[in-house]
Amino acid sequence: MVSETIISAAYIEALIIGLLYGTIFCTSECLPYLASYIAGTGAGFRKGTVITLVYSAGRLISYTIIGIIVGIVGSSLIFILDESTLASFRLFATFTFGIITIIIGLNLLIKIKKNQTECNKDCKSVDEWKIGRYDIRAFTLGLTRGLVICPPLFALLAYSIPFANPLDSVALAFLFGLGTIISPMLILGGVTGWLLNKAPLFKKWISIIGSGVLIILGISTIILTLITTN
Amino acid sequence: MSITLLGNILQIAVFAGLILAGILIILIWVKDKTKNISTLRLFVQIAFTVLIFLGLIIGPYGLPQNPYIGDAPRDRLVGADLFGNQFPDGLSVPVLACWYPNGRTITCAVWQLQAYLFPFWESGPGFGWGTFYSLNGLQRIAIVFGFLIAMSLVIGRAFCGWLCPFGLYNDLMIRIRKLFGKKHLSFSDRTNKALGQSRYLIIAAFLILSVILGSQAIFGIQLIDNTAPGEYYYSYFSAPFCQVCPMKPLCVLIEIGAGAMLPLQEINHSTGAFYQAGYYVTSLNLAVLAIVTIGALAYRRFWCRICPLGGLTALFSTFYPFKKVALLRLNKIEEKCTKCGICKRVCPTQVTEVYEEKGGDVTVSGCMLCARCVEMCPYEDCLEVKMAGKPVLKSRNWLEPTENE
Repeated sequence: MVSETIISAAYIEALIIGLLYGTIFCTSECLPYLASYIAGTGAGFRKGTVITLVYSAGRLISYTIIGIIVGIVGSSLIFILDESTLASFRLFATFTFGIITIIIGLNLLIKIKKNQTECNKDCKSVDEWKIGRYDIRAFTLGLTRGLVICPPLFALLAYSIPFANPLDSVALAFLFGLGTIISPMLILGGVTGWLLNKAPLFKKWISIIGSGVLIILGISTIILTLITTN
Repeated sequence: MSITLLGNILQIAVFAGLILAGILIILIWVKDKTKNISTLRLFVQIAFTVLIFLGLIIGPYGLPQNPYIGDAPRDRLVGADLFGNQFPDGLSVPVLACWYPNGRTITCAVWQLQAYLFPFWESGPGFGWGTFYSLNGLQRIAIVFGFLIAMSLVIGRAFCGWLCPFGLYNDLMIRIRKLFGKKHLSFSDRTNKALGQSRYLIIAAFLILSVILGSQAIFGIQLIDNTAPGEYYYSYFSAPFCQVCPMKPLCVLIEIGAGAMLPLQEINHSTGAFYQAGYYVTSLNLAVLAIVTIGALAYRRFWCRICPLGGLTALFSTFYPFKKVALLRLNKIEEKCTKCGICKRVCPTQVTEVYEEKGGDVTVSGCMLCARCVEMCPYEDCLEVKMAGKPVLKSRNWLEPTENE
């Protein structure tokens, strides 16, 4: 029986690992996608921060779902969760994330094109260049990104299995996710939107380039995954 | 040590005294009302450039207790002696003292932002340039932003108009054009606005890039050979904007010209990777400098319209919420304006708002507060440069002589 002290220490560890990992890894990994998406939607500071929060919420829910699954079938999973299984799942998750990224990029491009046509008729200024709410896309992006289980999360979940309490796995995954959210990315997302919004004359091009980069990132994610697995 | 410090302070005091004397002489001697502010500005620009590149190399080096003279002057600045122990790479006073040859006391804020923004958590030896910043990374970020915001709030973009050495370079280029009797060219209003806005895209791009490339410091990912932390080319990628900055080659040249840097250091490293044109300078630096020089020969303050450092200063002085508390402002009194359009024509960065806006605070992000419009405005007190609400420069009626004249 694992003592309560060890479990509570693991909770703190999960949060700290999440914080460190979020600051170091998640920011550099997620920022290109997030910044491109923010650029694609033409968001400002507030909207950029909201998008970052929604994206992070998507990741957090993914981690929690993974925690629930591991918690419920933990004892049986300990026999299944080996390196090859994880690698296969990661491949599948990364592939899904790549496809979702491409779809979102394409969707943004279509919306931009549609908006452009409407703007040519009605919009009087670039200030009217708005392409609606895209929070659901940010959420999907975060949700699929979160499914790509990173090594520290895997280690934490594997560590939680002997606790034999499903809630522990969920709590560890949730705390890890929470830690990753409180990272410089939260500020950088808003700042990116703030800076890009300072160039209204380029708004259309920023949106097009942002969406284009998102598509390229999606394609490169898929290609890189295929290369590394082969 | 205390005698050395006293000597350094004395040298700085003498230099400051000389600058003040120069300002007074200009104010007394230059009677032409359409030239006195410009002359004063030119003097301040030159004085500040000397202060940055030559003044700061006076220091403890060369003394018996400090015989070592390095390859670059960054180790022998007065400020390094004053602040060096606490902040080995200097306080980020946002002036164009390039970190690469100068470093330490005053370092370009653009470099500091890129270098400190992401790898601030880095620790331990052998991690390349990031090693210094690790232990007090958050403190450094706070210092960088603190200084940048404070400086922007106090002098705003007057830094670009009055103090920036690269601004002086741009001004000199257009003076060269004038020597040949040619008038400068002007951008269309839309192009000028687009150029002004592009600086924020540049800032966003290099911030994102520095975060992505900064991840090398943690994981040792080599995007390009020999760029892993601690390896020779790492510094090229930890600060992406600096590798295209047109000011860096000039900083190196000035230091070599002043005898403060060893030219061999540059020449010996001129054959390396395709992007490496010297120990500090990349081929991109040289290419951008060439383009900017050609541009500056045709247009007034060509680089200043897209400069990210100017953009950062503008962000913290001309945009909400900073605009509300910024001290140095350009004011216009609508009742005294006759819409003659002189202010629009003489503005080096082609700012149109001073002419177009009705009155009150007309400080915009493109305005460098150089006060050329104030100098040339022929209507008494129509335009004013105010510091904390108090007028420091006012437009004068230069069309009619005063009683004294």
